[in-house]
Amino acid sequence: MVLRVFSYLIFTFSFICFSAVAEPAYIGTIKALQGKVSIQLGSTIVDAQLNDKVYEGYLIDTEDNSSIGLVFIDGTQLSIGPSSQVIINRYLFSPKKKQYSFDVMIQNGSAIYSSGKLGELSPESIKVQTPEATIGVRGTKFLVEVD
Amino acid sequence: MEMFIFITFAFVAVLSATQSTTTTVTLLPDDKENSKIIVLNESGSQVVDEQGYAVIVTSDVDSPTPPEQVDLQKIKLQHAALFAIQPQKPEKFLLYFESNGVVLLNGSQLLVPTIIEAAKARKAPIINIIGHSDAAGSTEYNLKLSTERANAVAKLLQFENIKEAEYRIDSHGESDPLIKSDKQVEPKNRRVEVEIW
Repeated sequence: MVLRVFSYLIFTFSFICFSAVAEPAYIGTIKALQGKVSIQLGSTIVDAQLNDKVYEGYLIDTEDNSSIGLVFIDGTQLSIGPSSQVIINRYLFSPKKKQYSFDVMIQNGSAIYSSGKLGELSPESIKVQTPEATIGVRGTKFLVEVD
Repeated sequence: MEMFIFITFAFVAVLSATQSTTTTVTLLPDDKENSKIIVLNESGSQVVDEQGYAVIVTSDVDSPTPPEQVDLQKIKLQHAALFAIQPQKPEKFLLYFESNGVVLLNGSQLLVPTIIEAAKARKAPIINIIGHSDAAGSTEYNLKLSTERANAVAKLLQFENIKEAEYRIDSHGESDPLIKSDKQVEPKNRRVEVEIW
């Protein structure tokens, strides 16, 4: 019994250590920026800066006369127009493990999606959502307007 | 992760019920062949496979409208800021190797200065280096070989002083062939892709 509690403690402790140390991998870069764009992850909100890294879970909010262009690590491009809210729900690009996912929610505003390597290797993993519909991709470039 | 997505969905449902927006999806001209998208919700789906055609969805309980041709020039004017912010397209290069090693073929060797110039021409360039192999040999061996090829190219480029460059070095082994054939030996698949963003 004591042993079991002890091993449980070790397990919990190492889990906490691991969680604290493991940094999430970045999934893209901000390659174009105009005006004021805020980025929210959890309870933290920061202003977007050119060449900053992009992480899974980002909620991107562009103000009037502001827009942003992202390049994901597979070469997928997502450009977001003024007065828009976009959430990067999930992104996974791992050709070695053949694991792919692209799930982005365009809550409001406008965006242009242009596919990259992920679209070539696994088009069925791509999902661009809006409040009204889901867009499935077959290697392509399109404009979404939600207003 | 599953849980997170589920919560996001619930959140979305509430918002759309109070905000009521309309979604318009337009297939844009692109250099990729066979462009095709599917717009769907609970009520129906529409395939768009012609550039300059758009589908409209007024709510999640209304099915998407059949694709209709739109005036692309007008759309580009309406969304001038969005079209202007699109990141510059990457310059892409392919370097080929001798079999079973990291020795560049002569033609590819000559391409290296062009790659360096292209990278230096951009501000804070991202240099994406992806190694590949053909399918001859074991999967593990090919992954190792493609990693060595990517590293060899990275070394060549890192030797140059490219300002604020960010290097991303990756390898896909045999799993991402340029030529999809049954042949195991395929010189065109023994390559390193370099993308300058």
